Amino acid sequence: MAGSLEFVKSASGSTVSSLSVTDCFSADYDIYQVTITTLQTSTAANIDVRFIDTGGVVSTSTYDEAILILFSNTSFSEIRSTGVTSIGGVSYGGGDTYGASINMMVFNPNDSSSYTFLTDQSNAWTGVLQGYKGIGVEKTAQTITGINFFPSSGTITMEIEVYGFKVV
Amino acid sequence: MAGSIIQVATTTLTSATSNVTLTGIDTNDAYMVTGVGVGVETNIREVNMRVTKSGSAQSDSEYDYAYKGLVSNAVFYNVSAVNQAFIRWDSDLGTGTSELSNFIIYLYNFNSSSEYSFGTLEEVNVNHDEKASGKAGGFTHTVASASDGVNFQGESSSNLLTGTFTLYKIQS
Repeated sequence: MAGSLEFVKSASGSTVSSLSVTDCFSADYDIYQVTITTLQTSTAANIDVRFIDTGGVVSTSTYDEAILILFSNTSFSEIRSTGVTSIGGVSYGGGDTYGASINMMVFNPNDSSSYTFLTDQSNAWTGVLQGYKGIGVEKTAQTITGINFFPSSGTITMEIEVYGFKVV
Repeated sequence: MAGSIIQVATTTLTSATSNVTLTGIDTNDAYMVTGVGVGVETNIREVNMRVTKSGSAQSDSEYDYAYKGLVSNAVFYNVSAVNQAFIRWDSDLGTGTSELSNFIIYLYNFNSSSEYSFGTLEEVNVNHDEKASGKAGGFTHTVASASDGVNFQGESSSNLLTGTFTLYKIQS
């Protein structure tokens, strides 16, 4: 029996300033799973995310976010913002080769009458283990077609895979 | 090669309804429930959930749950309760077009006749105050008997107005 989780598109980049998966969100699915592996940065940096609409990367002050950072060696901390230009700090790159990974769910990107929602879970090595559990919303009722990841500084190396949850 | 996530049941709301039930859990696999664009008919209302046994939502006071509330405009908070009559979302949705809830729930041990039914939840919404928030945590129904599905309803008799609810089996 065919499964309901279907591969859509992938992208990879090495030491790039940002990496996009374009034209990966369509009317075919309402929920997408985005996985990021082999994540490394050239310097210690947060990993931020933006969505892509028909005009390109959405960098307007229309994102809300709430992210809990779980440190293995100290108290947890919170990232919370409204009306910002990206969903910032969905993960972290330690500027080394030990890596990080991200798993995201994106809801309703293609619906032109709805905002686009995401949940995020990731872990990273920054000299210690750091985990991330968060949510974000791009608060414009519009069609979103892709997703863009970028570091807060330096360059990024990563592989992105996008899957859709089929509903019949 | 056959896929391992198999759709079991789905409901897409086209009008207001008092509740949504998804059943079909009949193996020892883990299951997954997705909700997208879930909205309520009355302002400032939550989505509540129950497990079903033989297709009937269980209204006993046997639900325990614990979440971390993630809020974009305030300090994060904890939600915890024992012996409740339902699993409470604590999302305070509104009636604006995008004041909706979206979620992924994983269900474990539902088919067991000797274990409790467990679940984990991750949820993101825009609430009645037009602010993004979400939940991460888990719940259990503390009755050692098999459950076959889940039931969603609006808080305090509010109807559910929108949403697509889907149950998948994670096939071993």
